Amino acid sequence: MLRGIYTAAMGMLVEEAKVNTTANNLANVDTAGYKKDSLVFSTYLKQEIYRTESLSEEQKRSNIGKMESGVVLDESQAFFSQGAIEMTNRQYDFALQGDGFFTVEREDGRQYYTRNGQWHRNSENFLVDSVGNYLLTDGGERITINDQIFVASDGSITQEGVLTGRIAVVQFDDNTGLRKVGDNYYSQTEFSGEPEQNFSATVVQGGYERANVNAVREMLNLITAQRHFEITQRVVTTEDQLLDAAVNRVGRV
Amino acid sequence: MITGMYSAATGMNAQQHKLDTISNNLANVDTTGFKKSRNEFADLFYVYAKQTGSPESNISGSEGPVYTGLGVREVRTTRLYTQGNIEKTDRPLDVAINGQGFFRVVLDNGGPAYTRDGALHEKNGILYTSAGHAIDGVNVDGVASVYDLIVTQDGIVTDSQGVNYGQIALYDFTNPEGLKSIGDNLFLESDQSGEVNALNLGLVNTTLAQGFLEKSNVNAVQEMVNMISAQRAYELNSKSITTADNMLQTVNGLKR
Repeated sequence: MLRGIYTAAMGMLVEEAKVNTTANNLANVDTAGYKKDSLVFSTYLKQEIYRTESLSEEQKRSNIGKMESGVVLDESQAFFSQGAIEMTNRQYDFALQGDGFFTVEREDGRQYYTRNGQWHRNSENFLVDSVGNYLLTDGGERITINDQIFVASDGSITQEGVLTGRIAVVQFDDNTGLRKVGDNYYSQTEFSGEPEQNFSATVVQGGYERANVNAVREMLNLITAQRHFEITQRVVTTEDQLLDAAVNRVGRV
Repeated sequence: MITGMYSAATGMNAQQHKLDTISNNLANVDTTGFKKSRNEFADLFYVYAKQTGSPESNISGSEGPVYTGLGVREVRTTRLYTQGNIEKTDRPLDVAINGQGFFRVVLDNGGPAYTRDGALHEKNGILYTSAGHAIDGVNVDGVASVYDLIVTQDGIVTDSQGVNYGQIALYDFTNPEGLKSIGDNLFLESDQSGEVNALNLGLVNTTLAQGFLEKSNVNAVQEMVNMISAQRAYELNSKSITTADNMLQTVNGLKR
C-alpha cells in the first residue's frame, strides 16, 4: 500500500492529542496554581535514502537525503511559568512567586507538591488545602492555627507574636520530571530529583496564584490543530484516490 | 471519541458553577451581613499513555511522559468572612459587628443559629433580627422608647437612666469558613466549623457599633470582572468542543 496514507494518519492522531491537551488547559483556566501542558512531537522512523549505481565492480551508493515516515507524540510537558497572582486579602491564601512548591501531606503520609495557594483551617485547627490535605512546615510538621496568622515572604508563620514555624517551599532539579497526579498535585519521580529547600521563592499572603493558561495561545492551538487535521485528512483521501486509480483503472485501456 | 470534548464539558460545567456563585453574590450585594462565596477548582486525573523514562520511549529517544488531562472539578465553595462595609444609619437598633464573631439567634425549632445581620427590631421587649429571629441575652422590657437605648462597644444594653437590660453576646468559631449556610443570613455550627466559643469582647479586637449596619462584603466591580471572565472561559471551552466536533466531521470525510 501507499506509505503516505499511514504517515498522514499518524499526523491526524497527534493533532487529536493536541486538541485533548488544549481542552484540558482551557478547562483549568480557573484552577489555582494550574500549570499548562504542551506537547512535543518528533518524527518517526527516519530513513536515509541512497541512490545505488552499479556501473563499476563495487556498487556505488550516494546519499540523496532523508525521509521521515511519520510523526509521533514524544512528550507531554508542563510549562512552569509564573501565573498571575490574584489578591484576595484572605489570610489563608498564599501565593508563591518564583520557582518552588508547597509540600502537602495526605492522611496516609504520602507527600505531594503543589502551587495551589488556597488553604483552609479545618475542624482540628490544621491548615489544609481545598481537598483536605495538610500543608507542611520545613520540619515536616502540620501547621496548627490558634489565632490570626501572619506569613512573611520567607514563609515563616507568626501567631500571637510568636514564630511558630516556616512553610516548606521546595524546589527540584528538574520540574519537568514531576508527575501530574490531579487535584493540583505533583509527585516526585526519579527524574525530578529530591525536593530541596528553596530560599529564592517568596510567599505572598493574601493572594493566590492563578493558572498560567494563555487563552490566545490555546485558541491558536485549536485552530492550527483543526486545520492541520483537515489537511492530513485531505492527504489520506488523495492517497485513497491514487489507490483507486491504481486498483481500478490501470488495467483498463 | 476525542477525550478533549469531555474535558471541555467539565470546564463549561465549572464555569457555570462559578457564574451561579457570582450571581448569588451580586443578588446579595445589598443584603445586610451577607458574606460572599468563591469556587475552588482542581484538575482532574491524568491518563498516562507513557510513563516517564519507560522503555517505549526509546523509539523517539525522549524520556518524557505522554499524558492527557481529563478536565477540571469543583472541590470546594468557600465563604469569605472578610469584614463588610459599615454604613452609618443613626438608627439605635442597628448594631454592626466590627471584627470577628456572630450574633446568636434562636430558631423556630429552639436551636441556635448565628448571623452578622445587625438590623434589629423590638417587640415585647425581645430584640429580633429582620428575618424575625430572637437575639438571646437581652430583654429590654420596660424601656421608655427604643430611641433611649444605648449599646456599648462591649454589647451592654442600657438606657439613659442607667438601667441594664443585658448584654448582646457574640460568638465565634475556630473555623467560620466551615459554617453551614441555611439562608436568611443564618449560619449553623457544623463538624467543619468546630465548637462555638463565646467571645469576651474585652479581650478580642471586636467591637459593636450602634447606629451602624454591616453591609455585604461583595465588591460589585470585582464580581462583574469575574462574570466577564467566566463567560469568556465558558466560550473558550465551547470552542474546544466545536473543534473536536469539526475534527470528528473530518474523520467522517475520510471514507466516501
